[in-house]
Amino acid sequence: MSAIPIIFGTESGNAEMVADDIAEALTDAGHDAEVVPMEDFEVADLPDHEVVVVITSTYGEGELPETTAPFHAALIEQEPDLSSVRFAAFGLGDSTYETYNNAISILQAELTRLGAAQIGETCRHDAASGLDLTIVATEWVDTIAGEL
Amino acid sequence: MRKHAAAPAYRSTVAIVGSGPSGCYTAQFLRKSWPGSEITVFEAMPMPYGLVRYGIAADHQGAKAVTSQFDRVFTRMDVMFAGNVEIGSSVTFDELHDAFDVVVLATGLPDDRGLGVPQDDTARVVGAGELVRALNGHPDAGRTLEPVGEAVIVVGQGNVSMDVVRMLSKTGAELDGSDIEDAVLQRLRPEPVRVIHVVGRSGAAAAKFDIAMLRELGTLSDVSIGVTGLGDDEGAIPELLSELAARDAAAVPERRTRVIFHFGATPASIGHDGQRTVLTVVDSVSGDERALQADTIITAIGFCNADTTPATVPDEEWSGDRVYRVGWLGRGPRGTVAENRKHAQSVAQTIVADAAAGRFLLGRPGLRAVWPRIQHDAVTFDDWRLIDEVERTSAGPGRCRRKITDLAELLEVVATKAAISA
Repeated sequence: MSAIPIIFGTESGNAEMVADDIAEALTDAGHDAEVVPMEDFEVADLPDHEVVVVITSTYGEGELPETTAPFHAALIEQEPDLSSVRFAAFGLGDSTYETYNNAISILQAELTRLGAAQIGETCRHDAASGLDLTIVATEWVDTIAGEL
Repeated sequence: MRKHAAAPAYRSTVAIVGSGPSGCYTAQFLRKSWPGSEITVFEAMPMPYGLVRYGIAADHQGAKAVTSQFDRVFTRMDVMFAGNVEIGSSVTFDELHDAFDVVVLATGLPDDRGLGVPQDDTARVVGAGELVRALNGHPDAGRTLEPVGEAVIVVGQGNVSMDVVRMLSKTGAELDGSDIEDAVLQRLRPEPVRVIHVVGRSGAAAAKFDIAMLRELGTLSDVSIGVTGLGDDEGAIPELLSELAARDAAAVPERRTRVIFHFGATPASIGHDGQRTVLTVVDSVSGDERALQADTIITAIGFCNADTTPATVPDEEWSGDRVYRVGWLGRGPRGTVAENRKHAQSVAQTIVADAAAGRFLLGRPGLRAVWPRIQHDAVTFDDWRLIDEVERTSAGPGRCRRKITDLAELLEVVATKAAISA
């Protein structure tokens, strides 16, 4: 089985860091995982993967980060059949901003519309909470690792 | 650190000057794209992270959380930290340039830009950067700051201006979870500030602050908001301002701090009237002058290197082959941490491409060439982790950190640890 792609879109780099954490936690749980920047991921290859993990932060007023937007646009344009794909979703936001964690909701909705089934719950980290991103992500991986 | 200094097995050597976000991001990107390089980040302060520690407002801990990434640059990515080493004094720029294949300057823009209008010498004018640094526990900032009084004028309508307004108007409870320097806040604000005028020459639609900053201000329990010069500006910020002003006009709330935004008001001069400081502004529509009175004027109109004569400020002499400038120093005082990350990424790509194209030769010795001179004073990343631990564990109630503001105390913490481990 090919490695599970951990696909991240980021503005400040925090989503990339948590992608590394999630990959490490999945590896510890016995899975093969590979971190891929969203801008380097071919949407056309998405149906070839049984499982993917998508991670994105939210930019400004609930918008998609610059590296997430092309991935989202490609999903809409190419309309891949994702009925054989399962995904897990992790969002980063800051509740100082009202529409925080909007971007992961946008991706989640689009992947679902294209037929993909979600594994577990979407995790939404709030930077303003003071909770450690790595700990939140690792605990979240524990809740989904059994279903991968 | 000694291990690296004694046994260099690197194909290239990089010195990054400044451990703020631009410097740390450059180290991060360079490490990923140039695995064979020895990378050292020099920092004049004993503590790392520059603007993240001293510039981002103390109550925006979410934004400060990028330090988790930077910690990893030093703990997992084999990048060395040399704190308490000021380039230009401990080591000269020329010595650094001779010792390293690549020099990256990431020293930012530390000084408040002046208003550039006629100013009475007795008027009380403070820079926002100085104020924010002091409230962030910078050892050198705010020594001369006095109470701001009950009426304040903030000139400038960007995010730094909003940081100042927020910190001068938040209640104690609203600062929970921050690492604000309480002694400085108490000194600046022994009594509540009653009115804050926020003055800018542009219209509300062109205001530079993020709307989220205004929204956050609108949620504060003891702040009421007013506005002049809104005109018929359209857009998200004018709409929210109208909404907030209508809310607070109708309710006449018993809120202690009134924040009044003045748009289209260009500062013309600063004078005084008795004990009070007076800002004369010109209305951009009518051309009429009017006077705003306050106890203190705080300028928040941008940053610069105010004086390039000290040997530690990168002037035009700090240039040449193999020298790169990143972040605010390279591109001006614009943009968020995320935008400067992109700049760091592009500068790192340029460095790797220039080296690959043979635009300069590699093989300079790197850190080991300067290490004997700085090793006595240098604060390593392990030293910083100890300081970090002390700061976190000694935080007062409702605070996430108590910053060490006395450098002698700080160096003592480090020396004590060194003595124990020796």
